[in-house]
Amino acid sequence: MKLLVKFKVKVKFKGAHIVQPTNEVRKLDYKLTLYKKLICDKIVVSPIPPTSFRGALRHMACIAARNLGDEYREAYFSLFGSDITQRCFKEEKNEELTPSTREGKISIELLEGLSVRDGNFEVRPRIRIDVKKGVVEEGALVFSEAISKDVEVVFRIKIQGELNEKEKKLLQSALSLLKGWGVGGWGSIGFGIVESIEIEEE
Amino acid sequence: MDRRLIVILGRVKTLEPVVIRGRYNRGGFYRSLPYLPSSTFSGALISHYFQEKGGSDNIYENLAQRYVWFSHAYPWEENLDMGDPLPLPLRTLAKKREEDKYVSTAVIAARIIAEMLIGNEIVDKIRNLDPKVGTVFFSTGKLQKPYDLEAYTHVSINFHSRTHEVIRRREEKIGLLYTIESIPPGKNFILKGFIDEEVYDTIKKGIKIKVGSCRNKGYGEIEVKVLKEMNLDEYIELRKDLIAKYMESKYVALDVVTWAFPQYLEENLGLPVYERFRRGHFKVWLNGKFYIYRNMAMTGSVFLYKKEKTVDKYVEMETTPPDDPISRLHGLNMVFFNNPIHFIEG
Repeated sequence: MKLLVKFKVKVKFKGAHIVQPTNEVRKLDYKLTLYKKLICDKIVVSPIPPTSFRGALRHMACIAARNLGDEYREAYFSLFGSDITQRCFKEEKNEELTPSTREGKISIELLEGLSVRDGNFEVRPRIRIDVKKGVVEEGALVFSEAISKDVEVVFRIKIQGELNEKEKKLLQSALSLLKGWGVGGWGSIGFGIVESIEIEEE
Repeated sequence: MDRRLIVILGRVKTLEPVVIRGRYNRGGFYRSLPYLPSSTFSGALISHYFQEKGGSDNIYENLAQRYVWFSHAYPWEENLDMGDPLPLPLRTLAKKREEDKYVSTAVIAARIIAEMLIGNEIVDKIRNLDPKVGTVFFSTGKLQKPYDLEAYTHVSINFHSRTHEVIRRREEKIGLLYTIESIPPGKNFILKGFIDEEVYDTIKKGIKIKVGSCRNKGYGEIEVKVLKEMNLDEYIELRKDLIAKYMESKYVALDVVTWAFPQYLEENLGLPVYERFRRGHFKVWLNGKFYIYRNMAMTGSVFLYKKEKTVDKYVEMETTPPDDPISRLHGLNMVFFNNPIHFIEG
C-alpha cells in the first residue's frame, strides 16, 4: 500500500485576478475563472484554481532549489514531475519529455472555498497610456472582472510516498516563499498576493 | 469464464471538473468526450484496487487476476433497471416530425432492403421521421442531451519573464497556451459492469477515484455508487426473457455499447442485413505504450441481422467478456441485443 501524506493549507489572498477571455469586447473582455467543486452536495468555488496554486508552488520550489544547490534538483523533479519546458533545470535524459514522463509526488485539491453568493466580483476598466502623448492609447481600454477583497481558500496537498529530507526542506521552503508572491494576473498591482499561509497536517 | 461475476448498474457523479481528452484540434484545443470511456474508468478503478490491496510490479499479472469489463459511463440523470439498455447515442434514432416521440429507423430500413418494401405507406413513414437528432443519449423512452462542457485556457508560465512559455520542437516554436474542455462537477452518469467479487467488495459501499488528465491539479474526482447488482446467472436469465420478447420479429438488433471489432461481429453473427456503423479508432495509454484500435465499430452503431441464432447465443455474446485482460480492461466488444426502441412502430 502506497503511503499518502495529506495536509491542509489555508491561504489568504489579497484579491484575485485569474481570467478567461470572453467575446463581449468592450463590455466584459475578461471574466474571472471560477474553479468549481462539489463538496457535500454543494458547489464550492475558488477564484484561485488548484492548477494556479500548484504552478505558483512549483515556481517557488524552482527558486528555492536553484538557491539551495544542485543537490536539490532531484528533489524538485521528484515533487513536481517532469517539465516539458525545462524551465528550472535541464533534464539529463535525451528523450522527448511529456507531462507524464515522470509524475510528481504532489497533488493539490480544493477543500474549502467560497459559496457562489460570497463572490464579490467587480468589473474593472484598465487603460494603457501613450507615453509620448500622455493620453489613452487607441483601442487600449479593457474591462475585466476581478476580486479586490481578501479571499481565503483551503487546499489539500497530498503527497504520494515518503519524503526524504531534501524533499521536505524544498517543500517547506517553497511554501514559505509563497508569502508575498502573486498568484495569477495583475500581481504587479497587488492582486492575488499571498498574505498568509497556514499549514496543518491531517 | 468465471461464473462468480457480478453485474452492476453504477452511478458516477463528477465531484471535480473531469478532463477526458477526446481529440486534439489545432490551436492547442483539447475537445472532451461527452461520456467517460470504459478504459478510463476501468483503469482508474483497477489502479485504486491495487493501491489499496497491493499487487505485483507487473501490471499484466495484476490485470490477469481481476475481472473488470465496463461500459462507458453515459450522461444520465434518471434511473434504470438491470435489464434496460444503457443510454446510447444510437445512430438510427429519429424524431417523428409531428409528435415529440423518438423511434429507430433500423427495422424499417432493414425491411426496405431485405424485403424490397415499397409503396406510399413506407414513403410517408420515412418522410415523417427527422433523422437529425444530433448526439443524444436514449433509453427507455427518455432522452438525455450531453452536458454543457466548460472550456478553460491554461498557460505554462516562463519562470523568468512570467509570460507564457514557448518550447522548440524540431525547428517549430510551440506556445504553451492551451484550452481544455472539461465536464463540470455535479453531473451524473450511468454504466454497467461485469466484475468479480473482490472488485465488487471494493466499490459496493461507494468510492471516490480520480479519472482523466490533470488529476494532480484539482481535476478528475468522481464518486462511484452501485445502484443495482445481480449475480451473472440471474442477469443471464433476465436478459434471455427480455431478448426473447422480440424474437417474433424476423430480425435481431445489436447495439454497440462500447467498441466492437467488426470481425468479431461477423465471426459470430455473419453479415448484417442493415447497419448504421460509426467507424473510428482510439488509442489508450497503458504502462508506457499506446494500444491503438483501428476501424472499430463505435458506441451507438446499430446492426440488424436475420434471426438465425438462438437467444442463448445472443445472451452469451452480451455477457462474455474478452479473454484477453487488456481488451477486457478497455471495455471492448460490449454489445446489447434487441433494444426495444428498434421494435417500436414508426
